[in-house]
Amino acid sequence: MISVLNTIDTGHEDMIHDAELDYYGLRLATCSSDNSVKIYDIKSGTQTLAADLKGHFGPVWQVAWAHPKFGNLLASCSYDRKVIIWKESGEWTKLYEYSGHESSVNSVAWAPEEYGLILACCSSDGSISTITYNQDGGNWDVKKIPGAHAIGVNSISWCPAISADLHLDPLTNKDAPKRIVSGGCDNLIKIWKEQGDQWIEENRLEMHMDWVRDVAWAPSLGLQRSMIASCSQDKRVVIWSSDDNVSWSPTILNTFDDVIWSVSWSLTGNILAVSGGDNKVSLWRENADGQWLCISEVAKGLGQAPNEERSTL
Amino acid sequence: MIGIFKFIRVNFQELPDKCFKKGIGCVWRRGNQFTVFPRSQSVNKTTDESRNKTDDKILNIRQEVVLFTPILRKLVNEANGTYLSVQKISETSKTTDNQVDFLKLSRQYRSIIRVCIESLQEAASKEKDGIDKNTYLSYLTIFYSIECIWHLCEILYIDIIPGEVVLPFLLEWVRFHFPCHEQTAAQLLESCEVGSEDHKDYWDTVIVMIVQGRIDVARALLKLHSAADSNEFKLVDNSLRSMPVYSVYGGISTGEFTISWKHWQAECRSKLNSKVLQDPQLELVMRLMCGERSAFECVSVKFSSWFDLVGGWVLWTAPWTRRGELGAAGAACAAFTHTRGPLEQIVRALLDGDLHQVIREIQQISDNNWFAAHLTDMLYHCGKLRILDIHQADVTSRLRDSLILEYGSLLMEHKSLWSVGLSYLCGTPEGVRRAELMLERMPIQTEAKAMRVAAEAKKYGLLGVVQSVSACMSTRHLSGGAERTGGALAWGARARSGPQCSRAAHAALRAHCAGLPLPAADLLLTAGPALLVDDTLLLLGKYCDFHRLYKSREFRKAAKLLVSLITSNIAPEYFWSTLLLDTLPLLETEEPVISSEDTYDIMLCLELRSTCLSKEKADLLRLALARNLARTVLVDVGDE
Repeated sequence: MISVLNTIDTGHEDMIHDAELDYYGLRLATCSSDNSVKIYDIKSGTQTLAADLKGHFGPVWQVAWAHPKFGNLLASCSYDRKVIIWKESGEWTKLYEYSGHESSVNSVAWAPEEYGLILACCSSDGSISTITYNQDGGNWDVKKIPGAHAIGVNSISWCPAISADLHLDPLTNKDAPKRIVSGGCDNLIKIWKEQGDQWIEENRLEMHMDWVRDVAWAPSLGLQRSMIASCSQDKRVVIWSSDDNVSWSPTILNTFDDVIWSVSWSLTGNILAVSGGDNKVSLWRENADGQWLCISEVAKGLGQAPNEERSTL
Repeated sequence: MIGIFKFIRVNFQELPDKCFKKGIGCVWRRGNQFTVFPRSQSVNKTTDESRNKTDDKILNIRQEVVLFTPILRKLVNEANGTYLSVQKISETSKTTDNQVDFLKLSRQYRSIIRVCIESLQEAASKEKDGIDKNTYLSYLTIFYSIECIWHLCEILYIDIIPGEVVLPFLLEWVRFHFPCHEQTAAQLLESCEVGSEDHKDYWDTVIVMIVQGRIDVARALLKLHSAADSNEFKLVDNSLRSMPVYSVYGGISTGEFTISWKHWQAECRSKLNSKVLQDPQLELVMRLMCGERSAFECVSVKFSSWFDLVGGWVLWTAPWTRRGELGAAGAACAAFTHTRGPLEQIVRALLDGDLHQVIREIQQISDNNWFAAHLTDMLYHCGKLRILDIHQADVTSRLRDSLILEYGSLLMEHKSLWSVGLSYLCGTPEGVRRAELMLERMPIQTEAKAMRVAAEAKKYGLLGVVQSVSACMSTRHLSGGAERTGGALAWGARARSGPQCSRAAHAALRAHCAGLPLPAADLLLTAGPALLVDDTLLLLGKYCDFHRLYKSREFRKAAKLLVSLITSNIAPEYFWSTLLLDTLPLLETEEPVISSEDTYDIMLCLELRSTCLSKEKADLLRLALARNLARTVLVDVGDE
């Protein structure tokens, strides 16, 4: 049985674009068209507004929490072409502002903590940036991939450190190459690999027939397999899997009735949540035969009667 | 996986539909919790008038977990102990046959279930609140079913049955789980009145006793009938008494037993056909004894379900049935009724020997797969499970692993059962990685919790978790202010992380410059090689040692250490003034302790870094150095 644990009144003055839970699931950050980022403490059924961050001058698209070993850091990206890294020390303040993009910044993602404090962001100007904190100098180094996707990049996601090179022993592969997957308005998904001090395009995955809206690299369970989920305006969700991070094979998870906006893996990477324009969230799991099955649907407007669903898996 | 996910009921009574019309988004929290929020991709061109508070709401949704009810905690914990024993035994069973041990452990599981049922019964009887009472009663239904299935499973797959003749076990199972008219029988026998047939349940009781194979009770009851001395009663009693009973130690083979039993039943049938039996109820008893299908059909209404009849059916039609051959009996009995509840389905599949179906079905029991995980694990280790997928590939261990992983992951979500969850997860490579991911995200509110998580992680060799938790704790202490640098250092050292230690050590040194005492001196003095993780930490450690030497008035040694710290040039810029000024008292001791050569070195360092001291202080130090030089230039400080 599933139950609503609690409800949060966001108090945003305009529509919400993203909500992210921190590492421990105790705090929720939201961002909205009202240019603000809000942080809520959510503990056992109650929630309080912990901070209301104002610093952007346009709709804020996405937020991302850094690993807590770096302290409480939150990154946000906005239509105003800026990325802001916020830091909590007593209260929330702006730690760093990056304005190296020429158009709306659509997505931000922190690298796996093993690599240090690195933030990747992507923009409608078609480029991807990585911003690395340099501990010795206390400054931020920027690297840019110009022209990553024509017309614009919509989403990025990091390859977990543990599966960065599937042939290596996970405990000793700290030096394994960093990888990023990106999805863009050219209907493509691209995989980028860091080589020396630059990022090179390692792979391009073609399958979608319209803009790719979201990509998500699955958390690794130390198995000899990597997975990426992608979703697109073409109403399809595709699961890409690979045994070596080099050759990828697609499986169409499903074709939906409406555009799919986001895909999100559960912590242990065994369940994928898919949500989109048809106002539904559905949860998917792979069965022993490699088929993807829907295990539940959280539909809007179920208010009238309890809906009971039984689904095989 | 191969099984069936819990059915999910969403009751969104309070769901504010309106705000979800624009689109919906979803993010995962830990475990089976996720958050749903209204999500929009487009820029909204709101006019100033409409720009006021939206009614946007964010929902936190989670799967309800029955096992986290306090009353079921004991079940979870005790089952964990048995589960771990099963794993241990299965390690040794690779070399020896451990059937007896497995049987013992299976019984242990059953007694755990029994205890749980009893505590639920007690709680239900005490509970006044209607809703809570109903909850307990529904849990009771769940665990009654579990107990019943586990018992049958044990008989069919785990128990050691001499000659495989399953009948006595099956009868025991039926009697235990479906006690029916037991009390009436006891009452009647106790009052021991001739003419008991006047009791309204007399004949029902007799028939139930016959069907459940309680021959002695049935005979005793028949003796209480007012016509017990009549011929027809004596005839039936005689037949009941003379029925051959199979015993593996009885000295006859099953073949011989089968012949003699068939012969006995043929006699019964001829007695029945001779129309001696006038009493219709007595005739029914005889017809049951003859294994007549119509008779069973006729009495089936007296039972709640068909499997109450299974024991009787086997007893009166084929008492030599082996345990692998119960499918036909199941089919025959199931045909008597039309009820098709989940329990019926499971028992049927069990009798058919279709364990795959059984596991599929038991996953639908609302116990968060406690049962499915433990039973599957038990059967798997007993070597009784073989599950093939559609391609005929053996997926037995995958099925077992996936159930264990799911169960372990579920427990990880609980604020105190997580360590139990770990013991399930850490049995498989995939589980270890899952445990790692989940442990790292365990909310840590207190120092004690952090210690506990780190200790548990260490137990399973999850050193990455130890590092990550320690690093987070170190950061947290650091952001807590200068007074907490000691904690930051301790956790940094536990994390064995250079950067963490460096940040903590810098914070400690800066705090010291500002006049605070050195933190965690005892820790630093005993840290030994752990200090080598970072230069600043090493400096801090050595500097602490200097203070210790100075305090214990070992000035020579202290001076030597201090000079080496100065000349090695590892101190950060802000610390130079402290380091240089620390030489002052040593330069002015009664006996000189700093040699002329060292004095030169300090002088050089002072001139190179004179900017870090105020002119006044620098001059003071120069003077002290010069005086020390004057003392030592002719008679130097000797080696000890």
